[in-house]
Amino acid sequence: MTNFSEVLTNENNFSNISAKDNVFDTIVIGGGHAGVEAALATARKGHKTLLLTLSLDAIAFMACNPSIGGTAKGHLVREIDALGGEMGLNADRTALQLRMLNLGKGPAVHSLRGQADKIAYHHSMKNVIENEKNITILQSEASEILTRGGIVTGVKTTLGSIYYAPTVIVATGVYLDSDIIIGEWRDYTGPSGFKRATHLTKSILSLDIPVRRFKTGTPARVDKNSLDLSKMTVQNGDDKIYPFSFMTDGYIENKCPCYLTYTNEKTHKIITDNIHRSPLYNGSIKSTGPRYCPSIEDKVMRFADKSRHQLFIEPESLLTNEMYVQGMSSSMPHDVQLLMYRSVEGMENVKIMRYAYAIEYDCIDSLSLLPTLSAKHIKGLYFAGQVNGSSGYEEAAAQGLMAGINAALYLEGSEPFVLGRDEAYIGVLIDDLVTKGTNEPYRMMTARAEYRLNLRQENADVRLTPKGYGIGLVTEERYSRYLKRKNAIEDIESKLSRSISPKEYGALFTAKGENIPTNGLTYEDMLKRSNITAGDLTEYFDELSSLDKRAFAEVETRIKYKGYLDKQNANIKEFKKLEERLLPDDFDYLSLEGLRLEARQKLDKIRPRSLGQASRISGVSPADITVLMICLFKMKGD
Amino acid sequence: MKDTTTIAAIATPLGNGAISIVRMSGDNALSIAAKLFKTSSLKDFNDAAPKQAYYGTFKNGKISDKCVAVYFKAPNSYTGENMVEFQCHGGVRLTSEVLRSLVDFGARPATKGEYTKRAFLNGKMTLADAEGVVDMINAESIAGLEASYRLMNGDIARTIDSIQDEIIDLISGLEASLDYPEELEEDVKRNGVDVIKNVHIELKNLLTSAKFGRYIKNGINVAIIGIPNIGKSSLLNALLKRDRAIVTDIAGTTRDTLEEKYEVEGIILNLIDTAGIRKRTDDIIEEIGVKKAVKVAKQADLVILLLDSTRAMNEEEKHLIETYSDKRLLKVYNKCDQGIHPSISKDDNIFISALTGEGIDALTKHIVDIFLDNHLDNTGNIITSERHVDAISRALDSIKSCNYSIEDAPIECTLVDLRNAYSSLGEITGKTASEDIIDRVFARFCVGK
Repeated sequence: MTNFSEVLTNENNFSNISAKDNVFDTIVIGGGHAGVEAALATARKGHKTLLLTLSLDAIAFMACNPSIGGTAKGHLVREIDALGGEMGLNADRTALQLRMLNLGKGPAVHSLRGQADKIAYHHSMKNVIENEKNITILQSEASEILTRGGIVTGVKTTLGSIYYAPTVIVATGVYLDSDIIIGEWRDYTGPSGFKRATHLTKSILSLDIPVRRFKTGTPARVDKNSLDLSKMTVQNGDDKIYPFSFMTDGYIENKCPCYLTYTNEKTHKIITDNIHRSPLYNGSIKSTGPRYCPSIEDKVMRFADKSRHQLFIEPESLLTNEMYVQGMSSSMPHDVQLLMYRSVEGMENVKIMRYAYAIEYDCIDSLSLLPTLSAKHIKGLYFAGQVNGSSGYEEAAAQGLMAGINAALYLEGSEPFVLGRDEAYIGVLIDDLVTKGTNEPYRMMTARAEYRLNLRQENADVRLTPKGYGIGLVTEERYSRYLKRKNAIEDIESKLSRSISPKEYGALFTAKGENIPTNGLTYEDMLKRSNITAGDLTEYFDELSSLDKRAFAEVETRIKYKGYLDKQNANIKEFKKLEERLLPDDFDYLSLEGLRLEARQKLDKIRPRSLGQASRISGVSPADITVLMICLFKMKGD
Repeated sequence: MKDTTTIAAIATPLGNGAISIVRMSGDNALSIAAKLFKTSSLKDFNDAAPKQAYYGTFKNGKISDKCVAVYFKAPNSYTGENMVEFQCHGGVRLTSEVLRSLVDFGARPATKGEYTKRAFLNGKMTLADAEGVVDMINAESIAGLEASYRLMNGDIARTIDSIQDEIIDLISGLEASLDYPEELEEDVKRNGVDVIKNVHIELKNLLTSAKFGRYIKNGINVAIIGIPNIGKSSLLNALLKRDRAIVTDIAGTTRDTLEEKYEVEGIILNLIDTAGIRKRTDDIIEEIGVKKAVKVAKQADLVILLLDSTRAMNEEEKHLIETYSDKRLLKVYNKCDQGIHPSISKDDNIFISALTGEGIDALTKHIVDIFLDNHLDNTGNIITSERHVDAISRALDSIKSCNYSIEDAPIECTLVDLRNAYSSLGEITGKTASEDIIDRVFARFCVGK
């Protein structure tokens, strides 16, 4: 990088650098789920990477629920995996049980969720990055992001050391000036008793990046030995479901169950009687909390007619008795918490080991980022994860991976890598963050993905692995697995196009109560019928009996969904027309006379990459888009 | 799939000029034209030579007009695309029917300034002209979608709003069940069947009324029919409150049709008095009148069948009811001042006396109500309403498909149709789905860990 070398040679401090120890290609601030994916991506692409963390014991730490995946999040994990990320592999290595949600619905919304051993998860991921040859890990607090003339040059730590790099990825999670709140008590720490970061907010503000304050929360951890599990419903994992990673062979062993119980009227009365002591309701928490992750007091107050709420008791790890009480996050004072928890069936004598708490933290306005996750006006500076206002490990990891990839591509002087809303949940996630912004911690939902029939867990590899291979993150082994699967799918598709006579399929149709037509049918025709499945075909027809089951299921999905996929593809075609018309980075919106003032300001602030992105900005009308289109054309003409 | 690249619009000012021009631009302009326009000089209009005027017939169902069609081949046209122009007879009604036919066959109603925009994008205009385009489109953006939406009849706006509301409520419930499978306890799918049925009916009604909306500017054609000497001309006079028609008690007095405009509550009724219809007549002039009466009634928006309240319906009258079974037909009994025959139900029939004026105001109100109840769009902006009709019929198509999928397909498939229906209506109201859905999910359901 010419610019960066100039900075280094001109930098007064440079003469003081005794060794090349202080010079990196990338510095990642934060070792959470975003930070580790970012560091692995740059390092695996051959760039010397420094990972700064407040605590080595918090690497890939699961500060909230001990699970990975779930609706839409499971899709993100598969996509991260298909692109060559680590989360899926690590989740498989440390899974306690896996469940496939939404099996009663169509395959596009089947979502994998796994309980992970949080201690093992941390250890395993720490091990992966420690053994990555291009990563240097250092426990040290970043205090300042260094820039010169609009380009990033490095990071200063609280110890006074300076590390130089032409790219910096900020992945500080919820650690920026965070406060923990339990009732009337407020503590100035990060999550789970870890140290917080107290300097970096100021540095970010000084770079003209707006900072906001968000809030989230976590339930209590309780002692398993104090629970009467016999009063709860056991929830085992599902047998024989495909794990997160396309690289993991076989099935995951069911190691440990979860338990289901419910709150009751007594619980709700304790909450309403003490609502004046809740910081969420007495005004001492003013920041924005997520609607999809409501505290139990929120649920009780907002949905007063519900007589009970579900609680899932989940194991934190095989190495501890701590259990996570999903559904009961709270910021009530500790004495009220104990009353609340003890009112629940099976928890009459519960011993709380860690109280539930709310956490407030600083994050940036994600509208100040480009779709590459780079800051708009500072070259080489990237942001990823909860610091961008998102929530969830999977959302963080996805951004970390994308920021890492784009930092690496920038270092290499290559074109950036941006996924479309029609290509991946990752594309939807990042587009939402940088185009619409968010006023609460952003959670991925399948409802946000308008083209979700195409964005299935099971085709994540087909959608993304070739792209990951092109970028250089996907290993040869992963790529050859993908090719094998792709060939299997194509092979099955051609086999299914063969037509057979009524004589041959009569037995199947009779068994299924279908009228037997007089003409020949292809296997594909048969699969289009709602009560004939791939399983039936394998059972009745020898030539299909030995096909790869997983590939066959994917083909079955394509056939059964076809009518709807066609409708969706028509929508995608319309969507792409605008998406493919790119806007120049330096477009002068403010002096564009044809546009309304509001549109000019919004466009100038968000600086969309394409006309499509521009059309999703609130306050930009279809007529504004037409004006832009005309201006674009005019510029080309000139 | 509707072809979105070919657009159509009325190019001449609306009004009753001698000639109106309707034009089409886009890839399929010629092939759409060929489906509707036949000329004796060509086997197939697809073979038309560019820039040559062809005289022929534009025909689609009941519409038929002798007109001139000209084909302009890309890039030698105003927009730089393939274009076809129809020079047809003037009159708002005919012209808008021609436009509607083009839309039925795959063209999309053009948005304001779209021809000019295309012309510019295809390099057919200079930079100076283009500045004008920017100003024009910008002016539209200020008046914009919302403004024209507000200008619409309040009833229609409210109806579309409430339909969108019903749809998004259902969407959010179904979405919640997808995103929170373990937490959502309500059975959102079962209730969906009813919602979809409702919306289906509402959209159908809306479409019907939107179609009526097109007639409003030129009035509703109300034909008065009946056997001779039943009092049709008296009824016309009573409605007009003056003597327009010659009334005698000789059957067959009215030999030609008489047409009179009559405004009530802002709606123009074109009242058409017809010759009494009877099967056999020796009078040639009367026979022509009868034929004309049958034809006029066939083309009317509303047919009033006038009957005699003092006797039961005769065979000829029963036959008339059958003849007009596909029309909106109102049975009106005259001579109620002379009593009502026991065979006639008092509940669902209208009774008047053209002689005393009894029941005339009630009849007028009834006619107006039939149309007002259909939420007539009486703003008269035909191009806008053509686009609305297009959007509403696409929404209806999507909802029709939901009828099936809610029972037989997975939820996420039904949602494709529901979201498409919502966004089609959004082209009218300007409301888009994305954030609304998420907001509803959390407002209505207690979900989230």
